[in-house]
Amino acid sequence: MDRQKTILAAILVCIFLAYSAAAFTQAEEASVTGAEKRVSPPAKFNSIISQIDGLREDAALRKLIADSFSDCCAFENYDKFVAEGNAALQKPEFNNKDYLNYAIAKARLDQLSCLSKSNEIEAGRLYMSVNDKYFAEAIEHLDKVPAMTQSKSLVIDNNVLKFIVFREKLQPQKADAMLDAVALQISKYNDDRKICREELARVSEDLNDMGLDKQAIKIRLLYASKVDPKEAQEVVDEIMKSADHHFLQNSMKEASALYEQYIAAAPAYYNKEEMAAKVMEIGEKYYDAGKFKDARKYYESYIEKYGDLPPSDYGSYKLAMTYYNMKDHVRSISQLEGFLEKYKNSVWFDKAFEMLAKVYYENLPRDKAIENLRGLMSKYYRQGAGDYVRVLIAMLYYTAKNYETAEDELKKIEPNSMYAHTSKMIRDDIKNIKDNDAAPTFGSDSTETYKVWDVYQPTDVKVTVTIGSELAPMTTADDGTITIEAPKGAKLQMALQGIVDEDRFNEYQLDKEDPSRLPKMLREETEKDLLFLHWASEDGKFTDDNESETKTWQAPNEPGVYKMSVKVDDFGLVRVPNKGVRKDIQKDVNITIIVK
Amino acid sequence: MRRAFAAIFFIICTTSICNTGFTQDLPQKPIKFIKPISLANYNEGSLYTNLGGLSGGDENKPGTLYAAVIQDEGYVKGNTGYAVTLDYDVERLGEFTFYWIKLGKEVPGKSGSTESLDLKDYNYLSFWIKGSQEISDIKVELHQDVNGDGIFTYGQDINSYVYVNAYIRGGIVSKEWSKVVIPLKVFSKITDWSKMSELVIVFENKAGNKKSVVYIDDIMFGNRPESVLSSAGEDGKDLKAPDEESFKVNGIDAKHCPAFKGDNILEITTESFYQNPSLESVRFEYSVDRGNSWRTIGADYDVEGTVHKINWEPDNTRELLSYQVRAVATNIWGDDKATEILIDCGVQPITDDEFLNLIERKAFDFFNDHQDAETGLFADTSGGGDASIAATGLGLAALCIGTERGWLDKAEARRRALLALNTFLPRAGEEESLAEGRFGFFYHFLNKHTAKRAGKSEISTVDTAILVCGALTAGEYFSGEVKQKAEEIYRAVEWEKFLEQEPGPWFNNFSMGWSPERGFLESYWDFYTDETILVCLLAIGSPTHPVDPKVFYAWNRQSGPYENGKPFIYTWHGALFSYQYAHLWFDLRDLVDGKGVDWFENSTNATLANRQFCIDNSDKFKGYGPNSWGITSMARPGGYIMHFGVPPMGSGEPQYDGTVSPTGPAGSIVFTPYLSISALKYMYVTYPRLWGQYGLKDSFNRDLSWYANTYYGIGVGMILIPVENFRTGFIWKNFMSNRHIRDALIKAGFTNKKG
Repeated sequence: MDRQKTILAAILVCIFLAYSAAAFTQAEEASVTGAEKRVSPPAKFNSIISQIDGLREDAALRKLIADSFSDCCAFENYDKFVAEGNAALQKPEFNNKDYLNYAIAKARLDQLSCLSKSNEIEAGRLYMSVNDKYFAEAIEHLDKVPAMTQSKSLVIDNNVLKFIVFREKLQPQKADAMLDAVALQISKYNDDRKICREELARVSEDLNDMGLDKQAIKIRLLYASKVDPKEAQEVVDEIMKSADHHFLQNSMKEASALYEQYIAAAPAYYNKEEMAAKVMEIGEKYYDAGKFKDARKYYESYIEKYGDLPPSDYGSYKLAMTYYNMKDHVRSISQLEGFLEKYKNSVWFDKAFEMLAKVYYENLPRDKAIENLRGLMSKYYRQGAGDYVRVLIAMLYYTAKNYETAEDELKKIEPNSMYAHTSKMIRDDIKNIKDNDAAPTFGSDSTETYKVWDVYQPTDVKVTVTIGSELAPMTTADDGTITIEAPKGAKLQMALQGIVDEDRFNEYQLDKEDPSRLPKMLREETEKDLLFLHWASEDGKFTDDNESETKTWQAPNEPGVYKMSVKVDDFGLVRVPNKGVRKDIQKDVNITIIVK
Repeated sequence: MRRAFAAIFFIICTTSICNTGFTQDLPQKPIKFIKPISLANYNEGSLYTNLGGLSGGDENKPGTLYAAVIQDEGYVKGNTGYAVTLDYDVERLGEFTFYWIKLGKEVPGKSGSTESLDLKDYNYLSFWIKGSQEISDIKVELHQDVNGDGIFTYGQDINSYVYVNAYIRGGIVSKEWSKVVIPLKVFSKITDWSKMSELVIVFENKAGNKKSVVYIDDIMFGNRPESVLSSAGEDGKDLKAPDEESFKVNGIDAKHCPAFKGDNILEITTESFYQNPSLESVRFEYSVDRGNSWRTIGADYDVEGTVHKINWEPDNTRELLSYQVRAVATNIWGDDKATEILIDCGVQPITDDEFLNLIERKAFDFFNDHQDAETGLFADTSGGGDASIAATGLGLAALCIGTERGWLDKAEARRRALLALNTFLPRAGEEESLAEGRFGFFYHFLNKHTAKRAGKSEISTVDTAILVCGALTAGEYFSGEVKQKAEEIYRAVEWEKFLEQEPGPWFNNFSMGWSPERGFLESYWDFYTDETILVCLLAIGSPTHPVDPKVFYAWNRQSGPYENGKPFIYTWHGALFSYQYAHLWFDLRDLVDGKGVDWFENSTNATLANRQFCIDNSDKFKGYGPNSWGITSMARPGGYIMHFGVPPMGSGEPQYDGTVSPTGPAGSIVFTPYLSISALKYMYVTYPRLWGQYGLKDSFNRDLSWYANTYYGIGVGMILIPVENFRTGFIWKNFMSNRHIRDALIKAGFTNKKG
C-alpha cells in the first residue's frame, strides 16, 4: 500500500513538473516566438525583387506583386524581403523602383494582415508591437510611388493600399479622402469611358475580395460623383441591378445594403417623381416577398419624402397593409383612419375602408368593434363597401347570439347589393336557429368566422406539370400544395392555366383620365396585363429567366424533396364596378417535387 | 487717496502689468482681488461639488426632480467635462421641486450634517444655465445654518431667495447657455455669511411650466466691486483678448508646431483684475474643425496676475487631427474676447499598448475608488449601494495590477488587501467573520460598511469562488501575511456542503447557492459554463475540503457550431462572459482536460461565434458589426441582464435589441487579441459617449443612442484582468503559482497537449 502511494506520488510529481515547465514558461514567451514563426510555408516572393527588376509590362508587374502576396508565410520572410527590397532601392541601376516601393508596402500590410488572422496571444502581442512601425513604413513607401510611376493603375492600387492603412488605423477622415482620391483617379483613367468603368469594376471587385463590401459600393458612388450625370446614372443603376440580383438570389442582407446605398445616392441623378417610383418599387418588392419589415421602411420613406405627390394614397394604403401584415394593428388602424380622412377620392378608398372594418372586426373587443364599425358607417357610408360593414356588424351580434339585432342590420342591405346573397345566407341561418333551435352554422370565434365573409377571393390558378411530353400525375393536399414525382435531372415544364384577371380593366381604366393619380409603375403599364408572376425554388434551377405563365425547372441530380412556388399577384386592384365578383390578392401555389 | 493709488499702481507695475503692453486706466479706488470659489463644475463626473459636498434632486412627489451629470456636447458649457442635468416635473399648479447643493463636506460621523461655507469675502454668485425650452419661475435660495447643526431646518435656519429672471440677460432661461450673476446682497435675509450651508435651485409651477430639463454648469462665488456688479457688463466692451505674442507652449514661444504628447503647459498673458475688475477668467480652447466649434481645455480664474498657465494633455487616441488652440478672456457676465488661432498642430498618435494601458488604468480606477475604507469590500457598481464578493475578488486582483503598474503604492495596496481579507476571516476571539456567510461561503451581496447580508441575496458558490481566486492571486503577489490569510479563506470553504451527493439528476453537481428563505437553491452547476469550471477546480484543489475530481466531468457538455463556424461546447445561455470567467484566473493555454477538451480553444471559438452573430445581424441593428460585438451579461436600456447570449446555446434565443458590451471583446482579448483590440479601439474612437469616468462604459445601444452610465465591478474587472493577462500574463502567473491551483489541474486530469 505504501509502495503504491509512493509510486502514485512520484507520477503526480512528474506530471506536475512536466506541466509546470510547459505552462509557466509560455506566458513569458513573447513577441517573435509565436505560432506565426512556427509555421513557415515557402514564400512566393523569394525571387520577386529580381523579377520586378526584369519585367517591363505594367500588367505583368502588378500581377506578379498581387500573386506574390496572396498567401501568408513566415513572419521573418517578410522582414527579409523588406530588407532586401530596401537594399535594391538604393541601387541606381534597379528598374521599376515604383513597383518595388509598392511591393514593400504591400509586404508590410500582408505581414500585419497575416498576424491579425491568428488568434494566438503571441501573434496579438507581436501585431501590437510592430503595427505602428510597419504601417508608417508602408505609408512611407506608398508616398513615393505617385511621383515616380507612369502607371495609372499602380497609382490607383497604391492609394487603395493607403486607404487600407488609414482604415486599419481608425482614421476615417483620411480613409474617406483617400477613397475619394481613388475614385477621381479612376474617372480620369482614360478618355474611353468604357475603360474607366472597367477599371472601376476591377477596383470595386478588389475591395469586395478584401471583404470591404460597403467600400466596394462606395467607390462606385464616389466615381459617379466625378463623372457626367448620364454616366453617373448608369453607375448608380448598376447598384440597383446588383441589389435586384441579390434579392432574387435571396441574399437579403446584401440586397438590403445595396438598396439603401442606391436610395441614398440616386436622388443626385433622378428627379423627385422618378425617385418616388424607385422607392415604391423597392417597397413593393419586399412586400410581395412577404418581407414586411423592410417593405415598411420603404413605404414610410415614400410617405415621408414623396407624400405630396399624387400617388401618395397608394403608398399610404400599402403602408397600412404592411402594418396589418406585421400584425401591428394599432399602427394599421391609425394609418387606415388617416387614409380615409385624407384620401376620400382615392381609388383605394373602398379597399382601405373595408380593410379598416376588417381590422376593427378582427382585433377589437366586440362592443368596441361594433362602435367603431358604426362610426365608420356614419362617417363614410357607401353602398357596396358599406354593406360589407353591415355584414360584419351583423356577425358580431350573431356570434353574441343577439340574433334580432343581427337581422335588423342585415335587413338594411339592399337586394341589389353584392352582399345580398351573404345577407340572405345569414338570415336563413338565424331563422333556422330560431325556428328549429338549430346550432349556429358559423363558429363563435370571430376571426375564424370572418373568413366565411371575406370578400376577397384569391386569383384562381391551376398548374399543370409536364415531364418530357407526359403530363405528370399530381396530388393536391387540403392546403393546396401540389406534390409530384420526378426523376433526377428531369426538366419539368410548368404551366399556369385558368388565370382570371378580372380587374385588369378597372381602377386604372377608370383613372386613365387622371393618370397622375397612379404610381409611375402602374401608369407606364396601363395597357399591359398587371398580373405579376414570381417563380421561386429552393434548389434545382429554372432554365429560363422569364416570369411568365410557363416555366421550366430542372430537378437536381440528388434525390430528395424540393420545394417550388409560384406567386400570382394581380396587384390587388379590386373595385370592379357593377360586378359582383372580385378577384383579388395574390395566390401562392406551392409545389413539392419528390426527386427519385 | 490719490497718493495711495499711485503707490499701488507702482507695485503692480513692477510685478506684471508693465510687461503686458496693456495701458488701460486703473480703477478709481484700490480693490483687493479674492480668488473665486468654484463650487461645482461636475468635471469629476459626479454630483459632488468641488468642495466635497453632495448635491441632488428632490425625487419625492409631488414635484420631482432627477439630477444627473451629463457630458454630451452641447449640454456642457465649453463642450468638455460635465454639467448637471435637472429633469423636473411639477405637474400641478403650485407644485415645486428643487436641486440642492451642500456648500460643505459632510461632518465626519454625522450623517446628513454638513460643514458651513464662509462667504464673507464674496459678493456674487454666478452659474451658467440653459433649458430644453424657455423657463421662468426658477428660484435660487441660499440657506444659513443658524442653529449650527449642519442640517437645514425649516423655521430655524434662514432661507433667502430670489428669482433668476432679474439676473440673467434676456430675463428668461432659454435654450442657449446664459449666465446668471446674482449679487449676494440681494439675499437680504442672510445675517451671517460665514455660516452658509446650502444653495438650492427651486422649480415651481406658477404659470403652467410643468416639466422641463435644465442644465447648469460652473457654479461659483466671486468678488467684484459693487460698481462692476451693477454695471451689467455692457456686452464685454471693456474686455481685451489675451496677448497673442506672449503665447508659449512648455515655456517656449510656439511659432512652430510642437509634437504634442502627454502633458503640455500652455501659457499666455492678459490684463489683470486690477486693470479690468470685471475680468473673470482666461481660458484655453481647442478646435478640430478650423474654429467652427471650440472646446474648453481649462480656465484660470486667478486673474490677479497677468500670466495664465493651463495644463493640456491633448487627446491623441482618436484620428490624428490638427488641433487649433486659442485663448479667451472672459468677464463675470460671460462675455468673451478670443485671440486668433495661436497654433495649429497635430499630436503623436497613441499606440495599441498605450491604449490598452489607458483602458486598464481607467478600469483600475473603479476599484481604487470603490473600496470601503472600513471593510475593504468593493462596491458592486458605481451607483452606490452594496458591495459584492465577486467585485471584491476582482478588486483584490486589481490591487495587484495597480501596484505592479505603479498606480498604487505597494504598502498601501497590501494594507488594503489585508483589510478586505480580514473581513472574511474570524476576528480575534470570535468565531464568525465580519462578512456574513455559511460553511466558508459568503453572501453574494454584502453591506459595504457592515459586511452583513444585503437584502435577500443568496450565499453564492460562484461568487465565493471568484472571491477566493482574487484572494489567492493577492496572496501570491503580496506573499507573507496576505498569502497566509488568503489561504485561510480558501481552507475555510467547505465545498462538499454545496455538492449534491445523492444519486439523481444533479449527482456531483454543485448547488448555485443557499438562502435562509429557500435553503439550497434548486439550481445547479449542471451545464458547462466557465463558472462551473471555476467552482469545480477550486473545490478539487481545496487543501482542506477537496471533492472527488469526477465532479469536473459530472456536468453536461453539449457541442455545436454557430452557422458554419467550428463546433464548441456551449453554455446554457450563451453569454460571452460564461466563456471567460475561468480564464481570468486559470491559464489553460495548451492544456486539455481528461476528456481531451481544450477549454482555451473552446472559448476562442465561442468568441468567434459571438462576433459572427453580430456580423450576421448587422443589418438588423446598427450597433452590431465586425468591430462592434460582445453579447454578454450587461446593462441594457431596459435594465441589467445577466443571462444574455447567442447561439449555439442550451436555452432559447433571447430578444435582441442591438446592445453590445465592450466587456465582451475585452474579456476575450486573450482568445482573439487582434479582433478584440480592433473592436475596443473602434468602439472607443467611434462612440465618444462610450467613454466615461472609469473608461469604456458597460454597454451601448447605437440604435437607441443609449450608453450605460453605471459601471459594474464584474464589468470593469472583465476589462482589467484579461487585458493585463494579454499584455503580461500577470494575473495568470500569480494565480497559477499557487500550489493548490496546480494540484487542482493535475487532479482534474489536465495535461499539456503538446506533451
